[in-house]
Amino acid sequence: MLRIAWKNLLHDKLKLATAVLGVVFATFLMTVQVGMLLGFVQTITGIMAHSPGDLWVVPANTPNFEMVLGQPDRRHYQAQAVPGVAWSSRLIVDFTIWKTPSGQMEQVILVGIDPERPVGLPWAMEAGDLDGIWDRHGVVVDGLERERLGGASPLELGQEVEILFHRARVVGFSRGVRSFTTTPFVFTSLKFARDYAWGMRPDDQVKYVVIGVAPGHDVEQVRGELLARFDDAEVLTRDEFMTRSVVYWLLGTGAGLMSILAAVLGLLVGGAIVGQSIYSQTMEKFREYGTFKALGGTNGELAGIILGQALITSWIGYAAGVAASRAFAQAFGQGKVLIDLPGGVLVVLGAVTALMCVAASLTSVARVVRLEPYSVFKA
Amino acid sequence: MELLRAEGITKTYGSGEGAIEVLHGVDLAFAAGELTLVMGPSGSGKTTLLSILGCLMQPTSGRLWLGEREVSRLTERTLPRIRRRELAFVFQSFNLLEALTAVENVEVALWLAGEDERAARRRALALLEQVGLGDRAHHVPQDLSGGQKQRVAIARALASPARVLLADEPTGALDSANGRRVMEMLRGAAANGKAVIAVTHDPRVRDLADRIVTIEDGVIHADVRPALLEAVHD
Repeated sequence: MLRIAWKNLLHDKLKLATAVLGVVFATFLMTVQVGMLLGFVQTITGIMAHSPGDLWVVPANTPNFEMVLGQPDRRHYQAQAVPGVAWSSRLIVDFTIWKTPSGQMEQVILVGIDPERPVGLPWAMEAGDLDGIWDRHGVVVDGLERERLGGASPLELGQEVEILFHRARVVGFSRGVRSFTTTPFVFTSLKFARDYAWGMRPDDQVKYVVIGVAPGHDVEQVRGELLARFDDAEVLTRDEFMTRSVVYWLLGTGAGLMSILAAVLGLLVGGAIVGQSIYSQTMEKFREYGTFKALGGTNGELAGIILGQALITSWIGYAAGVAASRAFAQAFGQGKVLIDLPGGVLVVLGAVTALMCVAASLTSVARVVRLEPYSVFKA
Repeated sequence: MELLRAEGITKTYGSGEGAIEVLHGVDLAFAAGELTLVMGPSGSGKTTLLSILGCLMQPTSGRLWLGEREVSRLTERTLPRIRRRELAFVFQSFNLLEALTAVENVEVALWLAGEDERAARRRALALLEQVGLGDRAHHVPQDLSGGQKQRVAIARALASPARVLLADEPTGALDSANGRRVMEMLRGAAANGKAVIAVTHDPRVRDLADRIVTIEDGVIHADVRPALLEAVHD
């Protein structure tokens, strides 16, 4: 029956092209939006996901990784006295002002990393040396931001810039470390971050204290011990903090909802095009389906032909749509928006597309099932 | 040997005051090896009778037997198996599947009968040779003339294992030469042991019939065997 389905499709190439275009459109919109959504999640959680540590001591009601008030630096030392804590590390995250070599101002997010136990480092380097951040004035920025932070010309390794009236020197470029707000991250050591940070004047403040739990110790128990010691603080697991940040940015700002809505819209529009196309193909061949019934074809076989047409259309359209969205993701992946399309997600979206095509053809199947075989005798 | 028998078949369309009875107690039997023409004016009930004989429509009352089996009350779940193995059709407007080539159209009947693809292809090609279309086997219907299309339809009917072949105005869309050729093929099918029942208006093919049933206003008006009549006249 699949052979008849295939032949039926090929017989009217214009209709096939229309239906395939519908699926391509739906697939493209769906995969790009879902890819962007996953890219957002990766972008939001990037530094946390690539950092060691089991628990994050954060000032109470911190909504996300970037928007955080200060807390006493001493908590770093107090935490180390808690049973079950293997190590502790301080982290500064703060918005500040970057002055390009040509004098323009740019807002950046400063990440100050504790040299004793580094947490929050960029996870991939494009050029330069990450260890340079431990040297005086050394900073690492992402390669994607070379032009934006360079001003008149792209930043070069070793170039000197100004961060909040303090001199800084670019010692390396990370690769693919983006922020959800598109404000560039600037990595440096904890010590210099205190100079560069806008809201970090007192030297006894940090933003986060990240805890490594010793093997064999219960994370929940350690969390309880930490909470008992610190006022106005929350102790979150890394996953909890990542989830909180994702929820804040994607649901709080509506960005995630917009992506989901666009994906659903793509699915509905694509489904409507495919449904209309398959319905019109079915109606054109209504008499032939009557003949098929008269020859002994069952409703199941007829449904198989129509669903076969829908599935073949969905496979062709999905393959083309994924190719188009991958090319798009490749082109945009070089930019500030990450479009992440892992294989597993593509399999799920493929199944969704096939379901959409099958659902779109159910009206046609219902018409054919009700078709009386004696209708073949009507001239 | 009797292959198909109708007993007291009636058919009513609609219900209540608007009901129209188009067949009024038709009794007919069809034997293997016979070509029967069902003739009559438009609206006489020929096509309804053919639909019921072909198990495409249920009678309002009466019984239909295919061989030893009563089939008039079978459901749509069982009927496809009967249609694909015991009944074959030829239609006035050919009813070929437009997307398939001639040979594939013939193969459809073989696939439905359960034949594997390779065997179906061999047999379909042989049948197309038999109806003189060996060189058109890989053409789609739109590339064939009306006569050629009807010959493909006959090859498809012959491909079926059915012993009862029903034809609805098989010459209706053909010129006289092609019409004659098609009827001769149906005649040949009857000679090979099938019961062939053809509804027709075409008086030019009467001489090929073993039997002519005339129906008027839903009643069998005449049921004659021309050869017997000729013998009586001689």
